Amino acid sequence: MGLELYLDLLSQPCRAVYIFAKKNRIPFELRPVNLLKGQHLSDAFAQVNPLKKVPALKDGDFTLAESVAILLYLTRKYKVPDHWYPQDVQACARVDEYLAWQHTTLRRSCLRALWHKVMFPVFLGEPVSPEILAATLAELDVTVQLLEDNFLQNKAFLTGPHISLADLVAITELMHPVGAGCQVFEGRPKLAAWHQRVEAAVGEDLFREAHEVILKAKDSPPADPTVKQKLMPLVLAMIQ
Amino acid sequence: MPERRSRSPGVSKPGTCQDLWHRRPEKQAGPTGVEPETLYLGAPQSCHSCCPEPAVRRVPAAATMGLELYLDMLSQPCRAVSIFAKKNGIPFKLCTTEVFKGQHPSKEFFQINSLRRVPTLKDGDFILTESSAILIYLSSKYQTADHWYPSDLRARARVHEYLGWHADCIRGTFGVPLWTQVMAPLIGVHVPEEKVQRNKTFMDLALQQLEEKFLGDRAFVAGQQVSLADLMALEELLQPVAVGCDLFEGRPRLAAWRERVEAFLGSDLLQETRGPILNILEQAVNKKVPTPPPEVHPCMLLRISRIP
Repeated sequence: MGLELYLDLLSQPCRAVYIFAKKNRIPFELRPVNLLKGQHLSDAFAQVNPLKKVPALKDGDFTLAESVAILLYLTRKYKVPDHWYPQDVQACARVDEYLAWQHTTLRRSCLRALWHKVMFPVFLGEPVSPEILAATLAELDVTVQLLEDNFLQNKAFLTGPHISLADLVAITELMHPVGAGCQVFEGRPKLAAWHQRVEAAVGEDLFREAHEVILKAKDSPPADPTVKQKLMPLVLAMIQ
Repeated sequence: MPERRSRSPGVSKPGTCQDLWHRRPEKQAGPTGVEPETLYLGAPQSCHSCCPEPAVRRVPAAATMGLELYLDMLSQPCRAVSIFAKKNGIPFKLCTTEVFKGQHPSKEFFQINSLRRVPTLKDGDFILTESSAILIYLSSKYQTADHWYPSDLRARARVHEYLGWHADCIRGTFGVPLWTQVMAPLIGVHVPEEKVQRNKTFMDLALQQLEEKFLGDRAFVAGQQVSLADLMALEELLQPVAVGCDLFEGRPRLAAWRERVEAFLGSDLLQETRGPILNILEQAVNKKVPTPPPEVHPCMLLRISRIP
């Protein structure tokens, strides 16, 4: 059995892994894991990732969790073009810096925006107070501005003149609030231009395919009560 | 290097000025053999009424080149970076940056107004933040022993797997007890007991995952040898320990791991690095921790508000 990628394209980091593997023509078997049906909580999946999260990778007898680890593993194993994760120590450090920063900042705000604006009310049937939603969207605004001011600045891509893993991780994160109906690129021409460049570099068809699911998030049918019960505590922990 | 501004002369005796820029550096030979000149940093302000000498700070030529690390030893990631650099004999200038006293690396480095300006690395014109990025950079540039950041594909993947999980589940969570017991009270904020308990639950869950998934039956968290992952993990876990939460009690596997890592690093190095954090609780009890200046309060309040 070759490389298997356990993914749900509803998840930001799964989209980054998917796009990266497809773009670089890395052969893999897609193993879908439906988060909204709680499939990540199954015993079978726990064999692949005891942390019960996606994305997860299985390469022969080797299993691996965490999107950044997976992206770097694929980068090194399949010897992709240098610009994704440069050999140059300083250029590489820039990518590492972004990949470290995003965990508790952009990823967190984008996730909260999606859940507070759409998934709680639509999928879980739990209303979110206007104050909480406003605070979440305000925080999103701040982190998107930080992305522009501290990373993008006046460069073509986040870490230099070429697209890297940083851009892929960032763009897939930003598509979360876009899927929730937030206009993150509005009033931000530099960021909007960067978005176009990233999409062009990845390929519009691949980009669209990877984002079909998230763009339909607001049409999610309500959760089955048993599933909701299982998911609620995990969702609450996830968005803290 | 940030531009040094000259200021008009004044009347105080040299060396007595309260202006941070005028303090005499304490010269000590460090274990690396390089004199780490401790720079006190702060926003350069004109010193109207002090100092008869021009306030241009003269720094020895050698000290203007080479690696600089801006670190606050109360910070877990800063300690990890410091320990790594010293253990590997990497020559650097330590720029002690006490965040809660309002110090920070030059405003020219950053536009972010947050507490997250440390650790920062400056290598010539190259400025880098984020502890894991700094550790990886140092390991690559200074070609440290392979076990720290293994070149083997799968072994390295395990380090990154740990670091990814650490960013979500350890970072932010294990720093909370210091905030609730020391930092928040310093600015008159009381963190509700409900949040303190919730934090304990999150820490318990994280420790369980650390033990079962990452440590398992291995000697270290990402394999059979010490790596960057162990450094990052240990200094985070030490934070609540320093304020009296004994996380290792009732967790023999984790305690044994800690002993292994600490034996490898060496007690002198650890004592030197951990002095400030291990003293903080006692200082707080004796009301000897300086009150953070007003300009730091907004960032502190924001951080406190994010405690779930």
